Amino acid sequence: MASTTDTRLRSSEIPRRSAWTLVTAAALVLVMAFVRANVVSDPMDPERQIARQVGMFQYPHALAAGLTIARALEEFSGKHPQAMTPRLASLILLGILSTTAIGMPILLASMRRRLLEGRAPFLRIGAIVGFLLAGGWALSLFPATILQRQGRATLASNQGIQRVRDEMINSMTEISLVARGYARRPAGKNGGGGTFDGFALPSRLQRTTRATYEVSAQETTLVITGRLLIDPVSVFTAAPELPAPDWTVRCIITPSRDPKFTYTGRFE
Amino acid sequence: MASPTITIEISREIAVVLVWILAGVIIIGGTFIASYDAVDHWATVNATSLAGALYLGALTGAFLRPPVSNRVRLAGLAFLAALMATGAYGWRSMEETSRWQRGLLLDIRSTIGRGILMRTILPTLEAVEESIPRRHGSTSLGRRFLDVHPGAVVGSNFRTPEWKGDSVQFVVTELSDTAVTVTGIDIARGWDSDFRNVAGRTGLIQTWYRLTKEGISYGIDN
Repeated sequence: MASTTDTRLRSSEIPRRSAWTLVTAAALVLVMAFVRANVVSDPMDPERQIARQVGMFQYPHALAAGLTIARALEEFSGKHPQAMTPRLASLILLGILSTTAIGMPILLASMRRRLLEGRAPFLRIGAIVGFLLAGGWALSLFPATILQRQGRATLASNQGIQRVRDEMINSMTEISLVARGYARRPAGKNGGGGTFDGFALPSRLQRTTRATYEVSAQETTLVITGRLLIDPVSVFTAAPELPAPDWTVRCIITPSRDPKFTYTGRFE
Repeated sequence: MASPTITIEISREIAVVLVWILAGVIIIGGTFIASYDAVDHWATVNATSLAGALYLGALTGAFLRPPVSNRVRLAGLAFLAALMATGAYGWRSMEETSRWQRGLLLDIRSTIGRGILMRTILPTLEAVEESIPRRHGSTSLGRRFLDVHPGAVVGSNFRTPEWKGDSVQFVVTELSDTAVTVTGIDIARGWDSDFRNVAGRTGLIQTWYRLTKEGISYGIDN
């Protein structure tokens, strides 16, 4: 008399099997990320760009975010931002469908059969396919969100520094404009007669919300020094304003040459 | 004579899965098509994701129904809830971050644009200022300006683009014996989205530079 083995998945097995599944899936996601990053990520190759987009189809939110940034770059360059192309729209839809409408029914059906009726040859294949389709997105979400937050904090910090530096350069350019006008005016008409000697920085240009400015004149050379009033890192980050670091922007101008800028601290 | 038929036998189980897949494709695909907006793509993506989330809830409830044990069903629903919560947080986070990056890029472009206008317009007026003899009687600034920049016409751009895509323009907005005003415009986002610049476009940066006998002054309109 033949005996049959009960291969239904027991509740006690679920934690161990779930742990193995998560480890295997994490390894798989890392391999897929490595392939995407190294095989299909050449930004100079248009065909590889397409392959990269196709390779990213399981991450529709990343494709949508990429489109937002691409549009911003087009506006930055003065071009009219492009609308979502049919190919990109199809990839986004395919990504959402593969995760929800295709992968999950296969995965859940395989698990239900395994729980209630035991092993069957196609079940393992169904579970793997379902998990690849549904799990690739889900498992990468945790580390991706953490990395994204860290990346944003770094970007905000760097852009804060860049923003304050650009504003100080603009302020110093305005000061150089006033100083050059002074140098060009004859000495008898409140001017320098070809030099910067006697030039006094107008009070409205001595201070902005971000920095203070002072000038040092020696004949045909004027040195403008800008010193911070705020910590530039706090400009775009949520961090409270810290004491201003001792970074400077220095500008050397002459009546005939373009301003020459030098930087210290993280302005370099 | 009866036409030949083909009969495909599939198990009830597989048929149920196929029906669920078909229903998901119709519901989610239909939501995507109905909410499609090529300009505001996030509205389309978010609406489709919401439809997907609702479909997943129904799907999970159907496949974890009895005789699956209560313990397994609760564990499955809890896992789904955690997955959806994390998914929603990650999704919203990515949307918010990408929009923030876009605003930042446009902000940087505005700062750079105003700096470029200052550094390129000033030499045009300084050249006029330097051409005025130190000991002069009355010199018409407007005439001096036209000597230095022949062909400049009030109300139009007198700057020649230096590269393909060069969007900076210099428009003479005042030309008299005592004052010359040059207004600089560029394709970069200004502070006020309703501000109309001298070229008739709205929301873009604009600065002005005025040469008088006292020197050069400047201001930012947008």
